Amino acid sequence: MTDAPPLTESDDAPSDQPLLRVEDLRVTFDSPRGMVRAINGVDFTLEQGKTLAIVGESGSGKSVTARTIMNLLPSTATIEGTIGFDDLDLRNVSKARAKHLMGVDIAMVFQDPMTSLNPVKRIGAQLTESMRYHLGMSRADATERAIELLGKVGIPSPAQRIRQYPHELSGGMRQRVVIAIALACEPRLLIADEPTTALDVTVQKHILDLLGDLQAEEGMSMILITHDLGVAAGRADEIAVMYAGRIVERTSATQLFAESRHPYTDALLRSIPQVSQPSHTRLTPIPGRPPDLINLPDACAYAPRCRFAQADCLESVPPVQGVAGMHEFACFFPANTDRGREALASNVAAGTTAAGLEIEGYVSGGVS
Amino acid sequence: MTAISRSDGTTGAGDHLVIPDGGVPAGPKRRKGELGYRLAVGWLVLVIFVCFFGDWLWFVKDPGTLNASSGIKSGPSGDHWMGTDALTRDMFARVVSGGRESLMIGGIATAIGMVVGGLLGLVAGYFRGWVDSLISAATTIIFAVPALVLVLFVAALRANSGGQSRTSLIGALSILAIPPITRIVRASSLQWSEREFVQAARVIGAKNGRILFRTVLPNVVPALVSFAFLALGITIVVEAGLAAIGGSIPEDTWGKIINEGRGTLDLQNAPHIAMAPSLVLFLTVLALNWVGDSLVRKLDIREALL
Amino acid sequence: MKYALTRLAQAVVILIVVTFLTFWMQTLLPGNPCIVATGGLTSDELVAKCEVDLKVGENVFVRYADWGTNFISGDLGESYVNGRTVWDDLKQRFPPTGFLFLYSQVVALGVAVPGGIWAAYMAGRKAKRNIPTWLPFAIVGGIVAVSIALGTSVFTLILLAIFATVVIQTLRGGAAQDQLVSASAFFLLSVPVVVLAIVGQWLFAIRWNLYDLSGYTPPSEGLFDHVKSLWLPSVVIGLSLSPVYLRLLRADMIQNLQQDFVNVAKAKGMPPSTILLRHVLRPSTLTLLTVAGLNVAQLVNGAVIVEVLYDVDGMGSYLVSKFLGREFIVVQTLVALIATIFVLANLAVDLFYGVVDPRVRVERSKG
Repeated sequence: MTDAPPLTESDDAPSDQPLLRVEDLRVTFDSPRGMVRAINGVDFTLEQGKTLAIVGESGSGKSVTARTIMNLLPSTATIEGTIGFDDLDLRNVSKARAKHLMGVDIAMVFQDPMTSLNPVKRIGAQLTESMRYHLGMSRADATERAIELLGKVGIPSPAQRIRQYPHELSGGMRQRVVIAIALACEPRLLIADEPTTALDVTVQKHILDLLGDLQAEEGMSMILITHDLGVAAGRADEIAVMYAGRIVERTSATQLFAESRHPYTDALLRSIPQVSQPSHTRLTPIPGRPPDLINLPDACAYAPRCRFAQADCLESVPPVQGVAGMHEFACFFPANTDRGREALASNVAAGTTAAGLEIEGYVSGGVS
Repeated sequence: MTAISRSDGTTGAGDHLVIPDGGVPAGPKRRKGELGYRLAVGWLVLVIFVCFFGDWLWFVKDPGTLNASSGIKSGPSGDHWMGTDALTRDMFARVVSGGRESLMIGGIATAIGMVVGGLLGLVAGYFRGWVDSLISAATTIIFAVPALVLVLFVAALRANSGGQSRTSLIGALSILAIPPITRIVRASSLQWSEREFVQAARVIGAKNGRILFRTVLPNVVPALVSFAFLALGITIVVEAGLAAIGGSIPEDTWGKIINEGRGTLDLQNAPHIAMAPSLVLFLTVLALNWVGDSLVRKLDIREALL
Repeated sequence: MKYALTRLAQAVVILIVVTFLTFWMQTLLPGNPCIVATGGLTSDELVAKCEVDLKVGENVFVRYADWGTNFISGDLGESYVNGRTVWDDLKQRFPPTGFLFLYSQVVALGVAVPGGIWAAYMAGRKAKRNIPTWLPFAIVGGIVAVSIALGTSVFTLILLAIFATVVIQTLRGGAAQDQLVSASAFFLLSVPVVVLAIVGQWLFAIRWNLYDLSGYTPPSEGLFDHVKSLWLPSVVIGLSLSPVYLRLLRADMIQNLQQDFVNVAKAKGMPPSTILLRHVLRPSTLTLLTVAGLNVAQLVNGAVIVEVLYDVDGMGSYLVSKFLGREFIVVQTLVALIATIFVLANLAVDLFYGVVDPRVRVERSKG
């Protein structure tokens, strides 16, 4: 079952302790309809200077994970588990330390640059605000550094931009400003929550490249949250795939694209076009809808949409297995394994899965 | 779209179900609001019933009868629930008959406002174009004069040498009530006239009048009715204000009784004369606002679901 | 600029129509306006002067044009009862009303801005302590029972019950505090100005003797006496205005608090006070300004009532005295004057928008 090849990525970690350690994170929201179980036991670590991509559909809990780390959840949320950052326990930080933590050591870039800048404040004020507050810089020094930062994120004539309001800039420019704001205090961890989703396709690549360059330059760690495996490809060292509030598969980017284990990842890979495929290759959509997080079954949440689903999948939540820290996945019948192939074959033969999903002929396996 | 989620629980679960700190709490507050709503309705029913059927109710005395044995300006007692006035008349009876007057004047003015404002708003929202411009301009102009000053002025002009008459007062108050009702109904009518089923009715060649009254009007009525409660509150308050400064009709209204008892000596020795009608006026306006507010909120929910 | 001119033209048209309508309505009164307006209480010379001044007998447009020219040039006519010009009266009557407006706005905003910010900040937060719903009812009920047993006055009882509710809601924390503020605002909104003024007079001027109903004292006769002469009317008008501001500010701030830029500010690690005051309040001031403009009407209503009730010799009580004296020509001029102030105030607010919200500025320069 654990026939994953050994990996090299995690072997050359620079220090003995990863920068960010998330252990058994659980987040629930109190809603009028009942308890929403947004995150149900998420574990991951992130080394200094590395990039982790968290991939999933909307509703998979990837943004909630980010917001939990940033302490941005509303007070209606109940959080369990531990989040370690450097030598801190982020869930129990002293008031004094918390004052200059967010925005200094950890920063975040949000999804929609059109709304993430305050419309009635000048760019300069929004940029210098955190430097003046956290680093105690003078107005002049902060402005100087703000101009420098704007230049760094590729904004032409930054000295003039400082005096402009957000609505005077294009979407791509605004996202650059948002990135500059996040970088203002030289954070060690940058969380980018779907930084390109709201942007034009042509701008997306620029922003992603910029983030990559800045990360290399500053030696930051980065969490890149996206719903697009294509975005994660080539930019992340490690990829975590989330589904219904759990990480269903986590491994290095190369490994994931070469040999995905979780049927959901497998299906995701099939649903994106690849240059290597001959043109007119049919993309396979994922049937069904994401589960309702209020009534999560005590079973694999993906089972109703899974072509591999067997009776086992409907009886208990599959535990995480695989090689710890290298290739972990939560599935009883992993794709690209004999067990998975058998399960699929039996489902194809029966014409339906154990969860009642009707399937037609479909061949398992990696990208062949 | 942005990831701003709504607090009404309509969002799908997951990522975007971040109920922001500013979200309005649901649940227990709704239950409490329901209780307040019932109390408010109950109070309104009680006030209207007692005021209009006071003459036939055993516990309401005759407001004109003198009770010399009870004493002048005596405080509240078992016999006189709200005390007596300078002429030893029963204050409770006077508040009841004054309430009848206040409610009737406010009610008729609001009703006129609803009919006229409703029609104008309906037409403005449906036809748009120059009709709308004209009606909107007219409301803007009436809005340019503060309510009390407007009523004071119109009532002054209509008043005969014998003093203020009920009709002129009602006329003045309804001029006050028309513009806001017109605006609300216009907004609602505009919104509904854009809807597919109205457009469909237009396409199949139904007559405008028919569409207006059969299709648009029924949908506009909820907004009209819920705002009518607020408008009734406003007209009653304006009348009370007018009466308190001596500008209303000679008959007892809540405002006029307040005016009668507002002298320093009376407030010192017999505060019940001013306080009794003040309290009833406040509770009634509170109840009207509460009902109006609840209806508006309920309505919004229904509109959001459609 | 183009926008400003359009708005100015609009305001001028509204003013012309309003003043013309009031003027025209006044001329519709049957009989000689000079006699009707003075109730026959005046001398024949004054009536004759009035007829010449008002161009009685000419058609309404000529008379309006004449009146309008005088109005613009500051000649507001005169009272044909005592021969005093309206302008002279107003010069005396204006300061009290002006100060009353100023102070009541200060009171209203002083109550509404902190209240609105606090309510918005607390809304949707989790309660700090879990106090069951029945407990406050039980405590308030207990207070009522004990008070009745001890024979305290109804008034003390109400104060105690209010105090208990405030304490309980504050202990609860979170959304309960928003509910407390919002509910108070709703109650206050439902109190007619007349009732507020009467209760204020009863409590402060009579029961507790904290206010003298002795009329207005100008600041030149001592700042302390000046404030002392206006504080209660200002508080009454201010309190009656505040819930309108508070509710709008709260609603607006709740909306702004849900914006992404608030999350960005939080992610920047800015403290809550900075976020509330620097990031959220400023966009909300736009709403506050609009309401401030519209609230001038409410201010005038309040001033008219409060000035009469508290014997303040301001413009409101002047209007009422002219109304009760049936000097319709003066009343009409005053109504026109009030409408002018009101329309200009709204115009000013509208133009001031651009200063506060750069988005509006850009939109307008485009349009």
